[in-house]
Amino acid sequence: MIFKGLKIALKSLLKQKLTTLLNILGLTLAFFGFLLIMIYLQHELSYDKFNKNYDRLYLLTAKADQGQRQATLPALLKKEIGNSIPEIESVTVFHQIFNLNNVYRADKPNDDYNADPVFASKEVFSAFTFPLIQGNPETVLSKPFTAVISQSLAHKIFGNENPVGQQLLYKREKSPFTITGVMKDIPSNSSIKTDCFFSLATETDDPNSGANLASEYSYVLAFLLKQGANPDETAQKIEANAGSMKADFDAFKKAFHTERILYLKPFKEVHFSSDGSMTYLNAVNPLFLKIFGSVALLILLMAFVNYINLISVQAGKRIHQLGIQRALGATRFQVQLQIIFEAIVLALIAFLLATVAVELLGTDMQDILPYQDLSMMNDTNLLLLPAGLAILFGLFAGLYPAYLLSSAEPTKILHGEFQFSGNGRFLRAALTTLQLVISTALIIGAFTIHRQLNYWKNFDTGLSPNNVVYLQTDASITQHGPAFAEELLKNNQITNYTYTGFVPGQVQMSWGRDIGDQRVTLWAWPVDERFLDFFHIKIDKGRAFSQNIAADRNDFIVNEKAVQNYGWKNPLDISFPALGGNGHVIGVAKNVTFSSLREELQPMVFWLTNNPGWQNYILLKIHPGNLTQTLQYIKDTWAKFSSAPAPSIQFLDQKYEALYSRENKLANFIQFGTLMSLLIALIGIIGLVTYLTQKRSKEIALRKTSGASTMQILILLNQSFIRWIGIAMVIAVPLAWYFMNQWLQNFAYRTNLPWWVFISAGVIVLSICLIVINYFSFKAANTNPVDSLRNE
Amino acid sequence: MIQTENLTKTFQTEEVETTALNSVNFNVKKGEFVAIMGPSGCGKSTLLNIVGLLDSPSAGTYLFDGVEVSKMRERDRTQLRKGNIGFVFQSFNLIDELTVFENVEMPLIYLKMKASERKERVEAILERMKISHRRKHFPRQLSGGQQQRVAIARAVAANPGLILADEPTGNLDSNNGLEVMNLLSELNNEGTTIVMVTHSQHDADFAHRIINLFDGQIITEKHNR
Repeated sequence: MIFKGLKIALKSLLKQKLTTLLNILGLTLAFFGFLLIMIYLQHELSYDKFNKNYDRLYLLTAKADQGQRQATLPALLKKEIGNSIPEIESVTVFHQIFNLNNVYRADKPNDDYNADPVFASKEVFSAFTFPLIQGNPETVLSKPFTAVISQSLAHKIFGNENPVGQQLLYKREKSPFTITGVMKDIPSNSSIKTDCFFSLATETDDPNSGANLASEYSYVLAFLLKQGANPDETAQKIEANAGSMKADFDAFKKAFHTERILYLKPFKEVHFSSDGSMTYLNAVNPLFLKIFGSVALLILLMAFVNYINLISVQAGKRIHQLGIQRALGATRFQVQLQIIFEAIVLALIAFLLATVAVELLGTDMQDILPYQDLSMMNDTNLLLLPAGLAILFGLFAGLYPAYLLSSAEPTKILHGEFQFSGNGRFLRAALTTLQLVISTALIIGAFTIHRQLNYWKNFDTGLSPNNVVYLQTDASITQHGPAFAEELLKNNQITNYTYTGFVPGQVQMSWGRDIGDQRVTLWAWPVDERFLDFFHIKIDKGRAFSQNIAADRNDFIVNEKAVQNYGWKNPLDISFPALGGNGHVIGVAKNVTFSSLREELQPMVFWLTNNPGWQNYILLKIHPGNLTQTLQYIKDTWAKFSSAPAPSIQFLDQKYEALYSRENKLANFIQFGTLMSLLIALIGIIGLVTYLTQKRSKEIALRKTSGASTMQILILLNQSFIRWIGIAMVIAVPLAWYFMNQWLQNFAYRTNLPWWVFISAGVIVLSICLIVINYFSFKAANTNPVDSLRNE
Repeated sequence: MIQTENLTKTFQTEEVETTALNSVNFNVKKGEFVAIMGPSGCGKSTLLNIVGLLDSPSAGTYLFDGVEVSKMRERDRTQLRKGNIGFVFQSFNLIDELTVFENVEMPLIYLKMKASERKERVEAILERMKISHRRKHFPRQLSGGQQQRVAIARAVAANPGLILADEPTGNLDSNNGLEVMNLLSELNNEGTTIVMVTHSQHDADFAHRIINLFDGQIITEKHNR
């Protein structure tokens, strides 16, 4: 019975080739986009759920200035609270070393391997579900200078050798770490991502390390609470039992006018935090997920609309055939079932094609959806759920056509007395207009995101990246820092240099200091004396760092924002500790934007230091010509000062662009969504145009007989579509304006939305539609009227 | 008014070549009423389409009002046809989505006549065809006879010198058919040239001259009056 139904369905579909083809194309496109987005969303929503302690894991966050939150705190806090809080089962401390992504084999230090190493305390393997293949979870990271690497990293570095007992470095000049364990690869949907854990004991056992300083807000503390523990109460207890840090917290509470400083954020919220504090942990802006999900649904809606439109325009042809079936004995229900079955078959065909397309093209979509493994084979739910959805889609899409095509009495049909009411025309117009609204709105969205990205790209941060390259140093280079730099300057294509602890855009160090009776937080940027001049940063008060470095060593230049925020009347009288001794504020610099333009400018201090440990990078200003030779010269000069292979030379403007990779990906995604929706809308329009030109062929012939030219016929055929496009714009523009404005409010530095953005979107939709409409109408408009008029 | 010489029309498909008209010499004077008769497939409608500038011949010449039109492009034929030739079809061929008024008005719109002028002309014609009380109705609301009267009104709206009628009474009963033929005669008496294709001897008797076609050629020609 099902087989017979399937046979009838397929025959019916094949009989209306054009409609079937257009429907399959539109549905396949829609399902393709929908499936890709669903795979990505499923991945994002599954973050950290693989942890068996998922419901009891929390991240400690602190309230910062201006209502912000930060997830980095002093590691010392763990020691201070000790075992004083019974609700806490364990505390895992993480420290990710930024800008150091590679590890080296101790016995072969010339080869580096990307591992994104993270320092972690020994509790990590009991609190988190990172299964060990080799090693004891209780002890693998209990000692200093020990490491656990992932299975794939082990294979990469050691091949078939047993990695346990071997040694790794994270900097060539540092002490080696002994591998004590091998873990299974951490899944991609983990907030904590690494191929190599180093033992935090390496830091905590060193009294000079930041891990033992109350002022070092660079560590992530993950709390595993006991069953039934209240996280709010526990957070308050942590504050109360913070030992030597309690005074700091009290000072912050006073400074920020708040009753509480510490909060325990459940791990289920960690991946979706949009307050910026979780960027450390690869968090995603939940607004982005909502946008992705909305676009997925919109694309599906458009395909749904197309299906209804294309089937209903064919109703006139099919009604005669179905009328005969009813006259021969088919019940109305049977006819409806047949039509619904056809819709389901069509949807399943499209779903199958879309699945194949996802498997073939999924890996090419990384620029659009920031997830590498876009495949449906990862999870059977990913196959079953969408298949079920396809069936449901077919069911609902078939309902209206089933009602429509079964509504007429057979006798009327057979005597040619049946006519569809005008309501079908209105529905078609409304549905087509809806599609055009979606396409227009998405184009406006794409323009807005593009404008925002361009705004950031062209924003004068005060730290111009033009013609600036940088490379990571090593101990040999920093040991001979000035000599290395002077050697570079011998090439007249290299005009300036500076050493710095952080690359612009990635200042990662934050200090909490007591200044007067205030507790202040400052982003701290270790630089050399050339830095301000290198970027032409102007001084508002006081002076720049002196070339005579000994006099200014450890001194500071604060930014205007710091002075404004903390109301310093005499900033040049201020002194506070750096890392290793006090320093004085010798100047106030004009504000420069040193972090992402998403956030408001923060108080910041340039800290002059010649400590090689803080000269992680050398930045070079170069002439743009002869680039290849210049880069080669840099590498050759490196080779004179260091036996290690030269690191890759990066361009600062590309670094800036990478800061906005999320928004770039969003832009790519919206363009993808826009393209999908436009294609689906155009498929619908092609179907409608084809139908209308066929339906009106006699009218066209009569008008031509009466003297109408081809152009006049084309104008006639275009009129209704232009009306629909006009209505679509009137609806789309305010909607898009509202949502884009809301999106832009997420950014401290944002562009505006001039009127021409909206007009351009309308013009684009209109132009594309007119080209398609006229392409398919031209033939009809040019047909010899004789061919259409009925003769003898 | 109409002068053809060795007019030929062939239709080609992938497998077959059909000669619908074979060296036809066909002349019609101004003010004449000519009926074309012949069996199905003899080329009557093809001849009518070429005479009406809806189609062009494969060979031969055609002078319309002294103008050689056989090699004209479709665009130019449309221009010439506008206002000079009216058509009446067997199946009425009214536009279902337009009212009676709008159907009759259509040729005048393409002549770029002013709206007020159009209104005046259409009202007058509808009055003459005794159909003005139905001006706001749609074709499906009219009887066959009424629809054909609207079609004739449309054909004469632009005051053409020539009316081409293809089986104008084919879908009508005898009373309505007579009414239509009387209308055409009236128009002819007023000076309009009429060329009519018909199967009906009764209808052909209204004409001045009857031409018989067979297999694409004029076989006989008879003067009626």
